Amino acid sequence: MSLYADVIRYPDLFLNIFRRELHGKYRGSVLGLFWTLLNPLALIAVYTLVFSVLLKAFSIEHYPLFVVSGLVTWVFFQSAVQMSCSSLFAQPMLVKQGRFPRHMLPLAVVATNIVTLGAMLAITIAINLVVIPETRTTFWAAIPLLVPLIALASGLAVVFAYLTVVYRDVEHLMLTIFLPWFFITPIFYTLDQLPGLEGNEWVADLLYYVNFVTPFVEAIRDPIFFGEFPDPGDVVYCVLAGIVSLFLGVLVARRMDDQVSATL
Amino acid sequence: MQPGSIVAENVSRRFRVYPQRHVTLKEAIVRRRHLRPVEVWAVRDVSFRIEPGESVGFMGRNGSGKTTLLRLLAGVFRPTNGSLAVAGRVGSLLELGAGFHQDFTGRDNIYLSASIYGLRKQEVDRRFDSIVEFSELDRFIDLPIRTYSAGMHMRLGFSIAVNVDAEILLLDEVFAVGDEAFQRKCIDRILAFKEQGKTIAFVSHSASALERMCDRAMLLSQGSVQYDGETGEAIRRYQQLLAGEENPAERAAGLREWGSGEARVTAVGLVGADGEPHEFFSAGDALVLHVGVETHEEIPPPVLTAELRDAAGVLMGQSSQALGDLGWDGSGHAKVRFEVERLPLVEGNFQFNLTLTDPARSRRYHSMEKAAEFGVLPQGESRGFFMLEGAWSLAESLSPRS
Repeated sequence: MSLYADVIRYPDLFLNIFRRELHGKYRGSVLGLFWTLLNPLALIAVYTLVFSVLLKAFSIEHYPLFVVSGLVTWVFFQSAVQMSCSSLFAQPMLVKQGRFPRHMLPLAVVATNIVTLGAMLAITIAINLVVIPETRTTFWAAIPLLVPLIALASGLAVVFAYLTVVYRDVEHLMLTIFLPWFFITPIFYTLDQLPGLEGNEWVADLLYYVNFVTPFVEAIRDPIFFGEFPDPGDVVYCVLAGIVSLFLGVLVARRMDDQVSATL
Repeated sequence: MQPGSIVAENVSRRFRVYPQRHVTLKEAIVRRRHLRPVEVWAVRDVSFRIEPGESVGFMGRNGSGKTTLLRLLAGVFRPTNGSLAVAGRVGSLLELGAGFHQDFTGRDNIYLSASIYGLRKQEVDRRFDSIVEFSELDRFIDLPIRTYSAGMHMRLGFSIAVNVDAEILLLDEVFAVGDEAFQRKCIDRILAFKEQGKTIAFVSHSASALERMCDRAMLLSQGSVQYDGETGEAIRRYQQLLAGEENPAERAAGLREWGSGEARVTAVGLVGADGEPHEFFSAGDALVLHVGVETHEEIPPPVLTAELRDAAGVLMGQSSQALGDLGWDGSGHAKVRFEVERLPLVEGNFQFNLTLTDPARSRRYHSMEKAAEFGVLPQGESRGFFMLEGAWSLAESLSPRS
């Protein structure tokens, strides 16, 4: 696990790379942060229009807030993993410099996405606190759950950054996978409101536990939107998923580190 | 292990080269059998020991494994087999732009690059001015380095590498892009580095640079060490290796030569007054150019022309000799010598280009560019290219005091 401890072991190096990524992502401006928030805002507007206003598919109060409360988790997960794909591949010159701890590059990408996550979450929680009084006693429970969420993203970020160097189509593959993946994740609906699932509970279980993002979405949305504490089962699942992901990252980085510097 | 020492034991490095440039996951899964990689052993069973304070040159043709070896020392990748121990902080200049982010300014890149070497921010703060000063980039330090020229990249990379308190300095042949004044400054810095008892590993094709900076050189061929020892001897063997190369395309990588081939220059050497081979001469020294010639067909004795050119290729002088006039009948082998009693050059790098032609000079048997390269160091107070020799005397004087 020393892979992740390198962030603390080389603080200056990590900060320098983080600063570089942040600069690239936001182009060094406050407006840049606004642009990264624009995409989720557009999604919320469209889903509200289609599913809540036009189709009247879901009878969830404060539907836009419901969508955004699930979207924070998804947007962080997707953009952290997607952006990490090219983090090594796009910087061959950095990777080729001596004994450079290469896994820092995807981890720095994850760190920049934590900034966006923080901004989105702060705004969402602030609005929810005003609009939905029930969340005022429970919202804090979402904060510790960010730790396994970040662990999940970090491990997979390392895995896909290394894979992309050796297999150039991984980045495109991820783009293709993320869209359907988003739809089977209960973000603009809840699994218990789907009429098709009645009598087919095993499908619901499949959607819930095989899609490992679902428990994260639910566990973080419960306290910040529904005013309920997260389900203990979900919390355990999240922690385990985070640990498994970190181990996967170590495994792939160990096996492929040499191959990566020889390929680039 | 003492900081600054390097121990390599039976080090080998294999690369898998795939037929296509990029491998996709789809291909790897779907068409498994078609993707047989070719295995290339870039370094084979190399063992050596470098003690702190040694400066070692690595030479060999393109593809001989010297660059791979340097990358192994830098830790860019690990040996496939064998063990390699490098003790202490390693400063390296392996490739232009390595360790830099193109969108960052020179200033930010100094911090980024130094942090890759493991320096803390405060440590970089302390060294910042000397890095900038040495690189001579103070006017450009706040510009993004994508606007830098190759020479500027090299200057910044070199300045950082020599300023991070490394115990070991690894240099690949990147000096070529610097201007001559900066190259000289780099060499001085490397020599100072050497005097501090630090270890240097240096890859170069330039015999003069190797001879000046390295006490020991390793000649690599096809990934293995062919010779490890005194620099002058390594250079001689390298030149023999190049001369004996049969494939003209391969040879072009190290030497530039062409011609119809009825007669060939087989060996070239530069010898000083002491009869020993040299790559460096002092202004006014004696210099002897040895040339081995052989003919493959029945031809009249050829004419050998030696051109003296400076590093930029400007012709400084030329001398021709019909070898028949020296008493050779033009069959088999011959060794000729061209003796310069007092080298009329003062300072700089020079080369001899040799050409064998038929007596009418209409057919070019063999031309060899950079057949011999040498450096000249100034002696006394002379400056410039050639020795301006003359006698000063007083022609007239008006001395009111007397």
